[in-house]
Amino acid sequence: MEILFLLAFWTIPVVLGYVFGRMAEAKHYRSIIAREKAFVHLPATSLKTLLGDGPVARSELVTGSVVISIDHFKKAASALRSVVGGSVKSYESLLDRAKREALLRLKESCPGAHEIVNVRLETMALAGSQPRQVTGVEVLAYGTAIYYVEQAGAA
Amino acid sequence: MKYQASLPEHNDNISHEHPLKDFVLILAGLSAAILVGYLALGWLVDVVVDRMSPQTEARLTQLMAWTPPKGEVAMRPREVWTQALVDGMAKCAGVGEPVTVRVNRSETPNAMVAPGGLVIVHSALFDSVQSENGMAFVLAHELSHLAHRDHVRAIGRALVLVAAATLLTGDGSAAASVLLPAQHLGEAGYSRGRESAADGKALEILQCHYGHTGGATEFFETLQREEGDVPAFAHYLASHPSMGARIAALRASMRQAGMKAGAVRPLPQF
Repeated sequence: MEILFLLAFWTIPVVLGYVFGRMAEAKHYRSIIAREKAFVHLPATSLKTLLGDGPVARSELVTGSVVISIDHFKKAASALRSVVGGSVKSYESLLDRAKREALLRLKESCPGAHEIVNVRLETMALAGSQPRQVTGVEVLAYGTAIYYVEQAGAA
Repeated sequence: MKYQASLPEHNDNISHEHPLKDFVLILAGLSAAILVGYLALGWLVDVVVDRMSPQTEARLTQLMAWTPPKGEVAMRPREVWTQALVDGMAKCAGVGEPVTVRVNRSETPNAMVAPGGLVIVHSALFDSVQSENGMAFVLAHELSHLAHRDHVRAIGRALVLVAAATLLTGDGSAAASVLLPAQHLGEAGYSRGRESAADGKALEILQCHYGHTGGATEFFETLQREEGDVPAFAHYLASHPSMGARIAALRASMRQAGMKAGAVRPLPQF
């Protein structure tokens, strides 16, 4: 009988993680794609120089960060991957979402800016209660938002 | 050069194949590898144990022998009676080493054997059998484990498995726990086979000791009545065969070997 409990303890979190993790991921991607389209007019680059050439009214440090949890399905898939090696596909989408969401939040924090330069991304793993355990990732995006002097009649 | 803000057409940073494919492929492959490895290593352990000399076995047993727990005074009469029964059957069972019987007060009807020739009988077992022969069958079953060196095999397997799992996945890693079910299935299958073999040998011991196999199914019948029906799939996960299957197997081998169920001796009142 104890093996039934073992199987249940093993299966239920993985199934829950798969079902809810997939739902959350699909929803998140829909939101990311829609918001990226809405913000495509605001360039965010890693350049150290400005794209525009008008006089700058002001500039400010802007940040956007996000924390996304790992689910048990992704964790189990990566644990299996760790035995045989290869790319951890279950974490690829997790980090992809986190980076794009952080960049979106960065842009959303300065909707009136004309561009953001010197954008950097930092990724941190959130440790769990056990050594080497990872429960989620934080991605922090930061950069300098540039506001040009509004010129009447300028495009 | 003018910077043109745009969105990529494809997301090349993630794999687009179904996430379950990767998961199922690796899980199935590794689980199969573990089952095969388990069978192969287990077979090796069996080969080693079969060829082990009695001297080596005695030395190994000394290393892991249990000290018998303190006996309870109230259980003393049962212990003396059971000890005499076990000693009487030891020759038929092919057990050369001295066997010590301990009767523990417990509500669960059970008996077990520990390294060092220690047979532990739970007091509730006396209420689950109706005759001396019924009790003798349970004891004979434990004696066959001892004669077959099942404790050495079990410890050998556990050692080999732990070593192999640790080497393969690293100590305490998440992968080890993900693969736990496969390992358990292998162990349960082996254990069921071992229990069936001990049941068969116990019949022979009864036949040798009493001249008939009456009372052999008493204990299992009691358990079957108490447990009721268990779902069929539980069988594959259990370490012991189901009661119905054990009773049927016992009757079949009695028929096959032409063993007869004679009159049983009464169980003394304690």
